[in-house]
Amino acid sequence: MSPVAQTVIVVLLVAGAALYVARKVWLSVARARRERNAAGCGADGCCK
Amino acid sequence: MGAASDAARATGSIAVPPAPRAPASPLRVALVGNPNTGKSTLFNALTGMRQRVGNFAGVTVERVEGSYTGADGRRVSVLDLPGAYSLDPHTPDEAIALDLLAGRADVPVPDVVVIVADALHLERNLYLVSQLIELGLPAVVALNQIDAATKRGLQVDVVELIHELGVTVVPTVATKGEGIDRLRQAIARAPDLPVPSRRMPVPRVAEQALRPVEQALVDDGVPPAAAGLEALLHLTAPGTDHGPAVHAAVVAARSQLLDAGLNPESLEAELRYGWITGVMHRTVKDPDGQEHTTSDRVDRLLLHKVWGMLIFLALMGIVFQAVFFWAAPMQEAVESALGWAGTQVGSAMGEGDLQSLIVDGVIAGVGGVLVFLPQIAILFLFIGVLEDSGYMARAAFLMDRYMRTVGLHGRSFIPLVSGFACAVPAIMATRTIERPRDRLATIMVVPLMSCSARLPVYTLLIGAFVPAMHIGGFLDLHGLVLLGMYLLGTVSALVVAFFFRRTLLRGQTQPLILELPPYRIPSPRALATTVFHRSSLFVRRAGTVILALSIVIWALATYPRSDVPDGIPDEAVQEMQLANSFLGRAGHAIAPAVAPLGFDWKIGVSIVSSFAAREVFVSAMGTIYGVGGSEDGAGLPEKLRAERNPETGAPVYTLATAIGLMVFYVFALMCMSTVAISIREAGGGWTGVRWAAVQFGYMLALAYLGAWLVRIGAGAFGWA
Amino acid sequence: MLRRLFSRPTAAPAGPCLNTASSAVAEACLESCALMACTTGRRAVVVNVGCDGAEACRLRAMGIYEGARVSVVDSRNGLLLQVRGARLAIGAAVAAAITVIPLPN
Repeated sequence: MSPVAQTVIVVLLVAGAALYVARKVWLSVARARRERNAAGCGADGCCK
Repeated sequence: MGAASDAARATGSIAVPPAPRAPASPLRVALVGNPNTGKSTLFNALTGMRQRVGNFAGVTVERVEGSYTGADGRRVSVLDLPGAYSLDPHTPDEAIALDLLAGRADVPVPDVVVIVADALHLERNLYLVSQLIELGLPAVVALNQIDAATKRGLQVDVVELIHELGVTVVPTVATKGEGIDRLRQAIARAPDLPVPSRRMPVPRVAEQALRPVEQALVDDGVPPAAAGLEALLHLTAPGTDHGPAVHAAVVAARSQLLDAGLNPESLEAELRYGWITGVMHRTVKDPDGQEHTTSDRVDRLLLHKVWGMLIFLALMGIVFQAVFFWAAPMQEAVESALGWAGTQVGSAMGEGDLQSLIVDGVIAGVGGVLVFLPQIAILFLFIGVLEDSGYMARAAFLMDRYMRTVGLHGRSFIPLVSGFACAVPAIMATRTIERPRDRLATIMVVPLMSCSARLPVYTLLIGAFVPAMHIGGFLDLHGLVLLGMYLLGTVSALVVAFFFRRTLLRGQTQPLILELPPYRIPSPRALATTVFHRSSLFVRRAGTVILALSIVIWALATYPRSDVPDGIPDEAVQEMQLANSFLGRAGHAIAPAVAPLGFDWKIGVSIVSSFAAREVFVSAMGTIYGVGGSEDGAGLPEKLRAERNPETGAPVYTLATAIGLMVFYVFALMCMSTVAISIREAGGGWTGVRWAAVQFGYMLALAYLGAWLVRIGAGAFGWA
Repeated sequence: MLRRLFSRPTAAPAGPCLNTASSAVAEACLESCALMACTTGRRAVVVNVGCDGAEACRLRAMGIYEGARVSVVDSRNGLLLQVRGARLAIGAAVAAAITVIPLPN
């Protein structure tokens, strides 16, 4: 495999992995926000 | 559709005439029943492995869904509702079931309700059955564990029971898959049968008193079919979730009943159990009586104040020893397979960045975590055995007194023990604790229980630095240190809970009410299902999040490439490149912060990158030492032992460093998923964020303090 | 019959769930006493469930209601009861709030 092709694959893999991790973090934050809205939770930590 | 139903008929073992019609919409079935009736096992037997686990919208009650194809080719989707003793609107789990069945949830009302009743405890189970048949929904009763009842000498007259209840009753043995086909047939037929209705007699005076309440409930939007049941439920304690009209009607009805000489609080229980006594008399023959069962005799010993506790501690000791030793041969097999894969890929690809990424990043990173699969499987196997055998409830009963002294509930015990496996399901398991303060206190300390993700960290460090010394019996020093780490976490959890109950979460702890199911031999099939589900979840994480993180860490440890002078040895080149990489620079930046703990910058980097998940610490170490270390294929423990401080030449890792690092991981909340679930379960939104922040902060402080104390202590004894 | 007899709330002390009962009355208890005072092997009829809302509801659904018969299987730590054929473990606080009339063995 040529060095250029290798570099391209490495860059793609690393970028993909970084995006995946960023997406995971983003999704968990977004879910927390969404569920808060859906739950109508009280200030005492009690969700109805 | 046609192909699917043909296939189902071709493979189905039961001869069923072709369906006259093939409805397109799936049949919705809800599974309801008391806890400990084998409901989950029945659910597994009905739906197989295809399950989805989620939450009911807006509430923190677990929702498990599965499906199967009926004999007539129709899809049947099964919803497993949380275990309940009644449809009491005061407890979250049971309120969910009531709302869903009465059509108040955002889910359509199920077409068929399958009520799972335990044949051994039919009398108590019939309470929920009698409530459910009043809802006017097509219903089937699965009379589960009929084999155990027969063995005990109980004779249940199923035909008479059908007559008494007015619904189909199917005897089943979920653990062996017996009666499942007949249950499926009964489910398919249930919508065409007349709907069941109230069977128990209600005194005229009570009927008259309740009629205005029923009317007020119907006016308030309660389906007429459910009004009779709900009127009775509201009588016990006038709820506030309905309008003032309902409240006024309930108050009037209560005083009317009192005048008539009836107790409104206990009216429902009296009526239902009065009816149940008659049903039991006509349907069940119990020649032996059930005064003293084998379980009682076992409990004489297992619930003994001294012996019971000793046996409990011994059991826990055996579990941890087994997790460490039984897994060892399997771990070695996984390790050598990974080593072989690394060598193969390395030689097949030739030098280059891509080869380094695959071998040092992916195989070292993901492999370093996968090695712990055997231990996780064994831990879940043991938790499953304890749970399914009925011992877990005894442990909660035994522990209640002790839990209470630190302000926790006996029910907190099960989440805490589950915390040994993983804090995420454990925090979700706190939902069985009703009072918000009891729950919050448990949530706050659950992550202190050493979860299976810490196991990779512990075993790596113990294996590398603690001498394998036999102590006596089945114990050796490895097992003992591991047990010590678990004990440290457990004791701190209790102490911290005590402080929370005295400061932020003051209040009375809810009293204990717990059913002790009879002991039974756990079904291997059910255990296998649990272990399989948990293990595959772990593997999926290793294949996704940890894979991605490994690649990212590899990139950070590799770039930017720096120019190195010619003529120096290979290892020194790699060392310099690592030090100049992004990761190396970050590590050097935080090195002063971790220096008081005796950690070098490589450990600092691994700690930072393990915020995502603790086991990433091991894969990060694997990646860093894979990148910076020699290429002779030595394992990570050997590399750690060989690591020297470049300035002093002293070993970086001493026993004290290793212990300090382990103590750090006992306390630190290095787990993205736990933080996320804490936010959600502690109330969501800013409330949740605040509690999660408190949790993360106090745990990090404890971790730092703990590791520092270990270093100071070791220094004082002169073996730092 | 007993059920009818006891269906009206009695004058028995309806202490809150969280009081601990004195165990001195153990065997001297002929009239009504706290369930906590009963020893292993004792059978009794419940006359009052003096807990608040949610606990009382759960106890009644599980078979501990006014007029129900229970028998004490184990009184070493907390109480282990036989109720309606099942084994129910309750903490000392709950057991102290339930008033019973012991039955002769």
